[in-house]
Amino acid sequence: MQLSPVIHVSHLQKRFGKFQALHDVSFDVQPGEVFGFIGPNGAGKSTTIRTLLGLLRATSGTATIFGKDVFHDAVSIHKNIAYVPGDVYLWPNLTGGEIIDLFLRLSRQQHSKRTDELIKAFGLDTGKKARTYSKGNRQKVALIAALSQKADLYIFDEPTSGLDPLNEQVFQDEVKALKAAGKAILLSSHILSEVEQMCDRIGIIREGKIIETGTLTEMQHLTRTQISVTTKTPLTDLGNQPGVHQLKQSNPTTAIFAVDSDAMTIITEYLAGHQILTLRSTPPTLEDLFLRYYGRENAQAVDLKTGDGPDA
Amino acid sequence: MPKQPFFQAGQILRINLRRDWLKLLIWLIALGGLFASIAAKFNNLYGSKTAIEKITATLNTPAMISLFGRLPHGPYSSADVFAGEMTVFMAIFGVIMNFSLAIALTRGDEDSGVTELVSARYVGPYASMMAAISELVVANILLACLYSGGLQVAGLNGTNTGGNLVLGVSLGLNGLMFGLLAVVCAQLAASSRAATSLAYLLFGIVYLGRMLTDVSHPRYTWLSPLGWVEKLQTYRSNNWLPAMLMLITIAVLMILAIMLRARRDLNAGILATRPGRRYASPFLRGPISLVGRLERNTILAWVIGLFIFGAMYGSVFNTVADILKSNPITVKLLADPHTAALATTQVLKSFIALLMIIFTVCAIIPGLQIIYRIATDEQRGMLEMLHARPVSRFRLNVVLSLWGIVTSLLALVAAVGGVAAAANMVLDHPLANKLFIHGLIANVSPLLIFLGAGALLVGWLPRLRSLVWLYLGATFVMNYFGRLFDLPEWATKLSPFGFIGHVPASSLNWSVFWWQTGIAAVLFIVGLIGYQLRDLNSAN
Repeated sequence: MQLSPVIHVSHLQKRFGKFQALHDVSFDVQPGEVFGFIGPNGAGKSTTIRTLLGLLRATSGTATIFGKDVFHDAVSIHKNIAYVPGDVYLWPNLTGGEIIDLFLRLSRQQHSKRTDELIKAFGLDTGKKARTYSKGNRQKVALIAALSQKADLYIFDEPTSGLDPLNEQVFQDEVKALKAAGKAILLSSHILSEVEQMCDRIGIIREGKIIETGTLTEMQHLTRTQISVTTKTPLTDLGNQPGVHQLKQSNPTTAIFAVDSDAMTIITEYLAGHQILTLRSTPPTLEDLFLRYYGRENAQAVDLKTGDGPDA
Repeated sequence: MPKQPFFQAGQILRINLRRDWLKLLIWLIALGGLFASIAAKFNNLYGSKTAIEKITATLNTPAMISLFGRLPHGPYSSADVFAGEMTVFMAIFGVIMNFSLAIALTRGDEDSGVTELVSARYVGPYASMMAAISELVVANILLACLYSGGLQVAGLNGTNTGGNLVLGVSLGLNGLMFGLLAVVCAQLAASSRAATSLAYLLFGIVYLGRMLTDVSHPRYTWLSPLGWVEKLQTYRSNNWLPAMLMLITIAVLMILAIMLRARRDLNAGILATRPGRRYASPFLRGPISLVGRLERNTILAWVIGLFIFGAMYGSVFNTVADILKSNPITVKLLADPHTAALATTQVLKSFIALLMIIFTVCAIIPGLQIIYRIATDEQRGMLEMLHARPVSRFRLNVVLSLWGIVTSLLALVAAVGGVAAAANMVLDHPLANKLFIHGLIANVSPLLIFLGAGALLVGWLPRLRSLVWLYLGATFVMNYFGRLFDLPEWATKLSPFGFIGHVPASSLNWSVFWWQTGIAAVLFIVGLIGYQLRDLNSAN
């Protein structure tokens, strides 16, 4: 069954004066899907999200939520979305409780039993003035206001920065519950374990361009597996085999290297020919993927899809 | 942690001075310069016997006593008049300077996290506080030197070195005393905003105590620490007793501040921060009530403050009228009681017209601040989540603009109400309410233009919004001192106040009112359009 996407972004561009923040951003988020949006600081994650919220006006391209234009129909879209920014700033002379209730009421909703449950789960003292809150506590105010709201789309922009691991767990459980209830979720993060655990699909953004979208398995398939091997006979010409990268050999029979997924069969056959004593293979984590796209060490690495070098 | 409680305080003081030198310099030049330049002109202003008699007669009226304190018994020299007119006035400015410096050095640094960073170093537990107090001491010593030195150089008729010393030193000590009061307040309250409010509240109490006792029973003025500077008998017996009292109070306040600091945690106050509501009141449900909730204390403070401000001016209306009687020429002209009454009213009308501009400028401040929340709260990141809710930009902007307009109008009405009520209490022949109402109405349209200019800038170019403050300040100076500068006619027309005439001295011009209101409306609308179209900035 193909549902119409909740978020549809196509060739979005945003320019601030001379600075081109977004070059080409395209992705869709479907109902019941957690879409992970990853990229380093300054890659354009927040700019994309702020454009989706109608706070910024796109220079070109289209972005719709629920099929409506994100800028012109902002108010009617906002009735059905909940948002948590990465840096939460609150009016210092209001209490956390007041701000939560105000935000709910602005969305025509009420402080519910669920709100109280969330306040308890996150352990927030709602009676304190916001000026006394730490970064983590301000984040909790925004999270409680968003999670206790009934919405069709939830947008989280690095929501767990400043939260302790317990609260991070609470957040992850809540997101899973939302997903189970068929809500669409856009989660921007650079905590990759979080994205790995929760997201169905991932979009990687770099310098204002989406350079990869897909499921984690699809991405893993595109990338390399880390192999650490000890053999009986020396691996003299391992470096000449196709698809082998970053080879490190402390002695002729021990090697640590990365191998392209499509060269896996050839390499395993090659290794078997040298009588394997120990073999450990690690599938790439999202972190590896991430580092591969951004890491300085791999600046020379080929782009996975096109085979061209990265243009950075 | 080192054993000596003030270890490294000198080092911290040096760093603080390097950071604050410009601020200190500006304060010292402003206060010292004001004091010295007035002193330098005093022999010209009040050199002759008749001029002295005239001014002392005015200074001895209850209204002036309430503002400037009580003069000793005559006969008076120029120096006596200077001491009588300037002592309380400069003491108040000194208090403002010291409050501002003291709170910034203690709570301000604590709020911004500087104190935490410093305290984590190898420094004594009270080193930061002692560095702050030392900076206040330095500032006030320099100020005292400027005051005494300025007086010595000015060489007023009837001056003596002892008097110059006692006045300068006591003013410095008075400033330091209130500076330490602010340091104590900074231990009690948990934020610089709360500490400032507490300090000014205490100051308001001692000011009121001074004013009331001055008017009725000057002996009791000793009860108000602010009254001590009035007891110096400058250029008479040069009494050092008040200075001693101040020194003792300074020592007590310093010990108190250290004791309080010992009893509290960093970033906390002694007074428990009142826990607020766990749930929002049922009224807090949209932008309108949000702005009301955020601004209610500020609005209240401005309305009450301007009412009192107005009433203080109103209470001198009888002396303004009396000025005519003190002038022998006008007295002769005004022999006929009917003409006399008319002339008095005419003088008062001009006075009202001038006051209205002062009040309007003051009333614009809180309104403009509320309208500027569109930009300030946006920059501080508070509007981001609000905008992500189903609240349109249009609605938010209109709500803030309306709150700004209402606040300014309320503040203006309060000031005019204060002046009218107080004036008609002190005057033998009350002025018609119509005069005040017309004066008020005439100033509404310039008020709206200023607020509209603010709304225009936050809509299109929020970064340039301080231009309106500059424009407002320039307008104020132009209208208040314009006659001294001898400005040409076209220059006054650079400000919207230049078109309204001197209502109620001249008659209210409705066509000006309407075209100015029309311009204001256009400014608001264009600003709204800009805000609809532009990008909203984030905090980072």
